[in-house]
Amino acid sequence: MRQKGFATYNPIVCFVYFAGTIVISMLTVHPAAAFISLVMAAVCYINVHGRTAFKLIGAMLPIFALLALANPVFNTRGKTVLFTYMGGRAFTLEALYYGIVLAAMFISVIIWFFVYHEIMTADKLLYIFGGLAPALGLALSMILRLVPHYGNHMKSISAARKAISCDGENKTAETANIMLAMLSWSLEEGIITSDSMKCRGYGCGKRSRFSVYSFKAKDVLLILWIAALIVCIIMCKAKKGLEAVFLPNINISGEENRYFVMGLMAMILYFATPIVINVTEAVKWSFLKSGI
Amino acid sequence: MQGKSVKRLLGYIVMLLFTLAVLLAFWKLGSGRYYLFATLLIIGGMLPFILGFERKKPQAGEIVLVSVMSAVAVVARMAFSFVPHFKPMAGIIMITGMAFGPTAGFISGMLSLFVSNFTAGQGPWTPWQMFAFGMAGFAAGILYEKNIMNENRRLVTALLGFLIVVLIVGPLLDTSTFFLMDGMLGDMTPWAIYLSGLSVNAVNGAATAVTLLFLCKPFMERINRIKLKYDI
Repeated sequence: MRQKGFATYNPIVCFVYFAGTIVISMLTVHPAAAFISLVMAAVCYINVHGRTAFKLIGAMLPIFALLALANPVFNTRGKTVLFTYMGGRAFTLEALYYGIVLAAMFISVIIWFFVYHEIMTADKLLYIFGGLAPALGLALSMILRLVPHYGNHMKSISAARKAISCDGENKTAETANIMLAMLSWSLEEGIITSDSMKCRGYGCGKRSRFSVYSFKAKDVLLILWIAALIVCIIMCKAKKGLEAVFLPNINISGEENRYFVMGLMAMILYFATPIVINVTEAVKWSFLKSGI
Repeated sequence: MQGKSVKRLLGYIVMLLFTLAVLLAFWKLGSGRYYLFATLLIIGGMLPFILGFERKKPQAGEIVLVSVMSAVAVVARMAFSFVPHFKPMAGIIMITGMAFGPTAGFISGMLSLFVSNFTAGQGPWTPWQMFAFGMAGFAAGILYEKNIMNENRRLVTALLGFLIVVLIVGPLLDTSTFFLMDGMLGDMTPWAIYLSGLSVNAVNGAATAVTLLFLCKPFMERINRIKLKYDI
């Protein structure tokens, strides 16, 4: 898979970025913050995924509506009654507003996970955690390799069984039979692998690792930038700049609070970071291309 | 010996500080949202197993067998995806726990969920699923050691598999849903979530029971043959 822009940064930096994104989106119950997180997540996903991203984001809309409308149905606190139904159960404005904000937070976290999925591939996670837990990292890399391998095993077993026409009518039973043959095959194969590992000296001495990633100057710059913004957001949160109370009265910190303005700016900058990096790179590339 | 205990003490201190830092951060900045807090605690719950596995310095054979069984569980989930509502993963993880011990069961459950989520979709629920399925493998391993779950007692094993899914795996995943939906559905008690999750858990439990009923014995036979053949 081709990697460009934000995805070419060191995986540790990307992981810290996504951890920060998701923590900030999950913990800030504020309409402006939730809205920004949602929009930025959508833009970022379209940016990294291309046209097909619209389909997935479109699929999120009904979930958003459902979650937003569910809150006032279950929650009748709130001062302004919009209408009553089912013999006097109130549908309140405050609860609806709260529902919309919570739904926006939820959907934005889900879309950020889509973006995470797109950028943090399995090999990057191995690079991060392989050093912390070597045995587990080794097991993980083996599983990632074995899953497609066993898929191929199952195909060839199935083909062989068809060729000697002992594939039964019942597809479920047939799949179970193939599974069993695959199990024996893979266990034998595993033993051979582990013997080979033993012969090559696995377990005696420290194991070295190879990875294509290194810490470059741009990674250091990006992580300093991320850290500065996170500190800024935490400070604004601690100073109650990003507070919002919905029930029973709506009370949201607004632009009269300077910590709100500062926190919101920091959030916009934080969420926009990958988009800016990707777009700058694309623009630079098109300039270079036009120069040829 | 001296170095080892110092290392272990350091490990405990780090975990204690980690928990305190998490508590402090959420007390100050949590805005009443507990999902991340709960998720961090779940990750903390996985740490002892991970550290135990690492500290044991597992042999090549152990790592390979855990990987093989996890990969088999992931492939089984894909292979049986044409049968609606049938997920054999928990069953195969339990068989792993029974055949290779509780720790191997936990590790394989954790890893197979992690890997299968690369196709099924990673999300805020991933750590919870990893912990829940790890626990399923762990519980099966313990019950096998106590000689309660056994490939020769097919009905009891299948029933226990059902119970593990309905009483351990399902409620853990429902707790994740509860924290994720916290506040979104009004002041709902967790019991409403647990009750509504019961039907899904029962279906998954039944799938696990069917897996154990039909696959446990042949799986164990093949694993035992390998164990005998290569003297593991």
